Amino acid sequence: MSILRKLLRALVVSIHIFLSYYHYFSHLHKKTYFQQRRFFSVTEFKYAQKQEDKGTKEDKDTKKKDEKKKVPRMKTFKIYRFDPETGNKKPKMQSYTIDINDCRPMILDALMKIKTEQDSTLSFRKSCREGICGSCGVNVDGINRLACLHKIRPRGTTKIYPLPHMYVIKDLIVDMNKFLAQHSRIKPYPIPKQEHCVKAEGEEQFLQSIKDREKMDGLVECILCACCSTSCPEYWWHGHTKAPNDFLGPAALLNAYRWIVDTRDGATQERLNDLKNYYNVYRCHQINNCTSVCPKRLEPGRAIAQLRLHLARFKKKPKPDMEGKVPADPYKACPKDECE
Amino acid sequence: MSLIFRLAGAGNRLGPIGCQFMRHDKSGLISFVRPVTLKAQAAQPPKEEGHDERNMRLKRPQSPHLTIYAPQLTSMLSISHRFTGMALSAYVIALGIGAIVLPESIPDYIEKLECLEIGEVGISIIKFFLAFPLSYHFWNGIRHLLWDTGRFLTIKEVYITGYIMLTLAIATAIGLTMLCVPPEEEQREE
Repeated sequence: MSILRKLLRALVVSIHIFLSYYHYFSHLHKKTYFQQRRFFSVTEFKYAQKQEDKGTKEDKDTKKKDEKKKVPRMKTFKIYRFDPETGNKKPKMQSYTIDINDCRPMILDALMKIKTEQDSTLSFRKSCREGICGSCGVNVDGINRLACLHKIRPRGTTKIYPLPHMYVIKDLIVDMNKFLAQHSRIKPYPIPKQEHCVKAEGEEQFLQSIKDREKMDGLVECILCACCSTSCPEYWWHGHTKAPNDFLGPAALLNAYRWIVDTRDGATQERLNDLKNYYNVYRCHQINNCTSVCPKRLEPGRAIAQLRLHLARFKKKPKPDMEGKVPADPYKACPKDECE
Repeated sequence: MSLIFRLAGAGNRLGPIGCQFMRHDKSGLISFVRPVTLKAQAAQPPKEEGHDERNMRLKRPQSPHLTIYAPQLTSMLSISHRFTGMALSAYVIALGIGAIVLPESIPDYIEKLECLEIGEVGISIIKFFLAFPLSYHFWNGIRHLLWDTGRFLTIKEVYITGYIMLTLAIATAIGLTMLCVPPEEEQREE
């Protein structure tokens, strides 16, 4: 009996030990089982293996490319330099040679590389590096471009000038005051009709149909980079004369047309009257340099032609699909608890 | 400054050396202390200065324009439109004044030109240069009129109409140079 008891005890203890570790072991077992059952069929498994092989091949390819990339490709940039602080106040062209295999693809990247690695005194405007701020407009190889949107030409030397026929503050930075003043003169903001100005600002919002909004496509995208205006020979000759008797330039006129097309604007006639003089619009000779140069692919030339049709009363602003206003609801999108 | 004042005030406390240091007439720090009266002044309005005047005062150079801008079809067709217009008006004025001033009539000069024996080629070159400004200005003028209706103003259309206009203009100019009044008709008229 004693032997039987001892055996029973041993059994119970061993069962106990087994049970206590069962969870752990079973977990391990399951994991390995899961790993084995990753592929439900042989074809699937083979496909996965192929993918893995490809992956390693691609790695090799990229490695090869990297090795290729390490061979430097030198490219020379000739850049317009003017420093107002030195005694010799003459602008000059300075050349810089950089390795474009060690540089990202755009002109702006090259400019930044030169500034960080070679000459920290080189100055230019930049901000968004993706063609939406409009501050890096320069003249690359004779044509105005946004430096951030124009790729580096791999061969030959590239000449970079500031925007043409503008006063140079330093290197590639030009004085945009006149250009922006002209933009502000066309009143780039909505002027509602008198009868609409009843409630305080921000209480109500204007209605506009989708169709009417689509009329402004190709006008609202303007980023005021001044590439178009400074590419226009007429703007060179007549853009800088004194205030009322100057050619406003394609950028300002495009924006003027944008506010004339806008159905929410109520001051169309006043706007047109402001433009009715010998210089502001009619100095445009439809050279169309503006349309060919625009980095946002807008058509200032077309806008000016339309503006003239409006000025000559060949065209009239059509009646808007929707008129009137609705009460503004600034908290429309946010949950009520957060608003209060 | 406050340090100087404090030193000056503490002169007695600092003893004979400090007093000497502060009160010495010529080299002492006290000579730097001078009375200042502050007066309120009306703010002066900023000078109204034109864009050009301001930039000229600052001696900023003008960035290069005509010399560096790349010639493109758009600008080249535009400037040649102007040049052909100028050539046309020059022809009209020259021939008109010539008809009045010159001792003989213009057909006589044309006969003389023919007698010079420059050959067919030479004469047709002269004729082409007389005809081309007319044909160019005519066809480009029509292009400008189409633009004035607000059409063909995307950059693609501008280039297409440009090339069409150029071929039409050259074809018309060649046609006009080939044109000659047959001598038989002239005889009939006589």
